[in-house]
Amino acid sequence: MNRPQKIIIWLVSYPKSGNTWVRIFLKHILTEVTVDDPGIPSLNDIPIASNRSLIYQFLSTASSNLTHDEIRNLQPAIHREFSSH
Amino acid sequence: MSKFNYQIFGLLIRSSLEIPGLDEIHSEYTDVNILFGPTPDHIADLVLSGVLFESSRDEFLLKLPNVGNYYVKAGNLIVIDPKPNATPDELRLFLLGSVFGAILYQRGFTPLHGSSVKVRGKAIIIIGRSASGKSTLAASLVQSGYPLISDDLSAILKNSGICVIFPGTPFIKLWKDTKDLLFPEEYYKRVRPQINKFNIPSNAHSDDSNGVEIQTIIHLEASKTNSYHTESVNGACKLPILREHLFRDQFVTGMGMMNHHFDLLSSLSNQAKIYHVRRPSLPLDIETLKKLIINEILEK
Repeated sequence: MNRPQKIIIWLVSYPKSGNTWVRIFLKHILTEVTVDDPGIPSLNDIPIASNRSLIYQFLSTASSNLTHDEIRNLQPAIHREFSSH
Repeated sequence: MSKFNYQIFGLLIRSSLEIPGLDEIHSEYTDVNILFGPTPDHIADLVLSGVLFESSRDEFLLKLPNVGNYYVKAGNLIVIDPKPNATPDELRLFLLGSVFGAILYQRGFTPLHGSSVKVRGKAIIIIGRSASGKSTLAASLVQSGYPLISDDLSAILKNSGICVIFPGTPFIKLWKDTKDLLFPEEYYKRVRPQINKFNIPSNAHSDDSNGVEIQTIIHLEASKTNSYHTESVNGACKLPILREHLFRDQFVTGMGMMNHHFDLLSSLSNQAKIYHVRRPSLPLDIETLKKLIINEILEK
């Protein structure tokens, strides 16, 4: 399983204030960039707290079997679990 | 309360919850009892807990806020304590998924997260992450006449030195877009009222209660390519792929059974051919993928 990197950064911002852009450059700073591949990381490669694989890792059931409301209610417990591992 | 007798994953099940679509069997003997009743608040000798679950070597407790609690013990008992508004479909969804995963682990099976079909008497298992297209590919192969063995949960045991997989329930769960594409005219029930995923009965299903020998494993991955690609996985690369796809692997760590599962997975990696298949993330052209799998792997 692709375990998320164990660095937690809380990025708190209003919508449209540039948080996606900040996520890209944070990933760039935290990734070893080689001369051969200095490219901008794809958004798909940047872990995010709402990522499905993170939810899956700590949940005892497939997230696809839960409703949006159920997943939203479980987010705090999932984040607690993630930060305590 | 009436009881229903079924065979799932080769196990004789005596259940208070009806599972429509499964044939009833007659048997004096029972491997697993499924009852309604109160469940414990916590597991006494807790080894592992996570979001919504607790487990030890022989106990497992799953607590779903809107559906109910499930308590699994010693590989032979499942107690369901439903919430007042839970529908039977919802109760079955989690029973036949995570809860059966737990009982299989307790009984020494090695369950993989994958769907399986039968090709010329041997099993092909499709493993991959969530949303990689396992069920979609399985459904389209079943449409082409290959019998379904299981969807999502693949129960494996070693039998006289050979790894075999046991038939699960004869349904495939598909999201609405895939269901509309593959079965446009048909009416099916949702897995839960609020979720756009449907239970599709398979028109051909394996009934090999002694298991089917595993021949091939397809590791399906949605990736950033524009094309469809298969390659054979060899040697030491095989075992880690299998390890990554243990069903709900967070259950296993607390059970002290990892050596047992590694032993089976290493036998399986020697026994089975493994192919890595990449497909474009979006859109998925089911026909193209199916033809590639049939031509390059199944009928090669």
